[in-house]
Amino acid sequence: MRWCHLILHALHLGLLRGASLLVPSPQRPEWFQEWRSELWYVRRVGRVPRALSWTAQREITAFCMGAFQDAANLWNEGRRSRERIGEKPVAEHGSPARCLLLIAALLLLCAAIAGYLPGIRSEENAAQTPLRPGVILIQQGASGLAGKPSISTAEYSDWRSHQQQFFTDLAFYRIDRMPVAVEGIRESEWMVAQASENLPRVLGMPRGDSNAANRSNLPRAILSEAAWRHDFRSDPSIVGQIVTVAHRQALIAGIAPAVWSRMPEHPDLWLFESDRKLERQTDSAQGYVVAQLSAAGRAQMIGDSVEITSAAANGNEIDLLGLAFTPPTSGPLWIYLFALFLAVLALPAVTSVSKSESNFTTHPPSLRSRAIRWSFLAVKLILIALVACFASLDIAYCSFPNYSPFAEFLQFVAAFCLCLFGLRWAIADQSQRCPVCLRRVTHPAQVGIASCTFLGWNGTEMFCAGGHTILHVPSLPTSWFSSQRWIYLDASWDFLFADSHSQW
Amino acid sequence: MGADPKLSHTAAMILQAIHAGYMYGFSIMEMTGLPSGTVYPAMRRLERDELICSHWERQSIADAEQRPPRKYYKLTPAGKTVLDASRKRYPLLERLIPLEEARAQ
Repeated sequence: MRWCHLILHALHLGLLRGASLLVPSPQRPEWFQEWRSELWYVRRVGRVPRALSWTAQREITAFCMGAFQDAANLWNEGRRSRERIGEKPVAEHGSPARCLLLIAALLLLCAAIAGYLPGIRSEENAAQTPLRPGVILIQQGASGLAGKPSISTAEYSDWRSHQQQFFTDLAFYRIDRMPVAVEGIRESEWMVAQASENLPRVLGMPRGDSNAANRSNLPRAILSEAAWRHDFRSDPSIVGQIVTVAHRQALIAGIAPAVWSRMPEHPDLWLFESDRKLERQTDSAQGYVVAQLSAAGRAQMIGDSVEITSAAANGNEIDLLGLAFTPPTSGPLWIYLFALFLAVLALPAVTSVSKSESNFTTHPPSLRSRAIRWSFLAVKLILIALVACFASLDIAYCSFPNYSPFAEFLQFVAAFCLCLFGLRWAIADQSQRCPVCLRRVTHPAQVGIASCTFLGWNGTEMFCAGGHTILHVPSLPTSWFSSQRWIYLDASWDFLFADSHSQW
Repeated sequence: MGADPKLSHTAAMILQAIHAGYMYGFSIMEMTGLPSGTVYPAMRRLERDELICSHWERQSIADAEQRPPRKYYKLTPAGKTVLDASRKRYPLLERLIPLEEARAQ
């Protein structure tokens, strides 16, 4: 309980600190002190001894939220007063706090969108419940027929009845459009996969049948993840309910792992029936055979496929093709980390990582300034990396509601591009920030003539709005001026800069 | 600033609360029932218009009572004039926040 109080107190102080960033810097310390002091009294009134009162905590939070209105009011007043005297808001111009706040706001937005997209959770699920290794989909003919049902029930039964050298187990399913009705949901036509009972075992689905499923004599059915999310709004209580499929009842025993969406034709519902029942239905109906390869079978694999020859009932040989399911990746986090690793490797190719030359001999920066500068860069890089993480997921899954290998690829490409160019921007931005106050330099002025490069200096000059430094950037790097230089301004320049002492 | 008879009811309530002896933000919130997002910005405007002024409590007093120091507000002469004008405009103001109640605390 004490930890809860401490965490909530830290949250409230964080809210006040966040709001204080809106307050003009000269007023900020006193403003924060007043709100902090008032918070102490509010907490004292709202405290219930040895208990955590959520009502009281909500009231304290509401009190802290009022700080934002107060701070916004002061910010608006400051802006209006500057406009009245015709002064531009130099204190805020390119300030590091504003930069970090904008990136943090972008991060929150991307994270909020990512939390809303169901495809991301689906990809995580797919990584957590991978298909068993050595599972292949068997179909007739060349790979041109991939994704088309080509094995009849009779052929499947024939294979099942014979001893197999290359397979340890075989399962079958075929797809039909059928009317499906569940309590509370309007009857509609779904893609229903009628599958042999051993299909989950062949695919390596963990047994998680509910008690209701074990007690019932009804055939079991499994909802696809997409149908569960779309039609049942991810309601877990759907497991154990009765579903009517083409006037026959079945029990919903679970939700299919996301990785099952790789199976051809993407059925909405998997209905499991005994081999005998499957055989009783039309023998000529064609479907898919999923097989678990034995060690000998795996040895025959060439890449992701294996050629199989089977003897038909009339003695003819049938050419079959076994296609391995693409092994799933390790989930969105690992895809992102790999993309980040590649982007860091590629970063020196797109930006100059070396620091600019600085005239530090007369004005060496203090240890504190250097620590703040490096900390700012580190925080900026971390925020950019997090933005790239969530934004890549948003890009990948905004049009894919379910797990998809293409979405994974899209996430990888987006994460790589965002990390590469985001980190490049962060470093370029850092090189244009005053070493003293970390504001971005401003007011670029062209100096010199390009045709006189070898006679005099030619480039762009920018200065820090706080009056600390001038940045010289050469237009054409020469042997005596190859990269940008910082020149420190001494106190004699102060009269030009009204807010030279305000930082952040 | 001279007397401004067109002070809003909220601002007048806050002035009356300060006059009644509720001298810091949270006590004004409790007395008036107004939220923090209304009380503090209004007090900043009143202070800007020099109707109230503020001062920090001495650290030694707060330390002796083991609490953080408070920022106290009080009415300026201009504030008292404006409050008198506002009472004519809002006759129920004194009944809402009577002086006696504050003194009794």
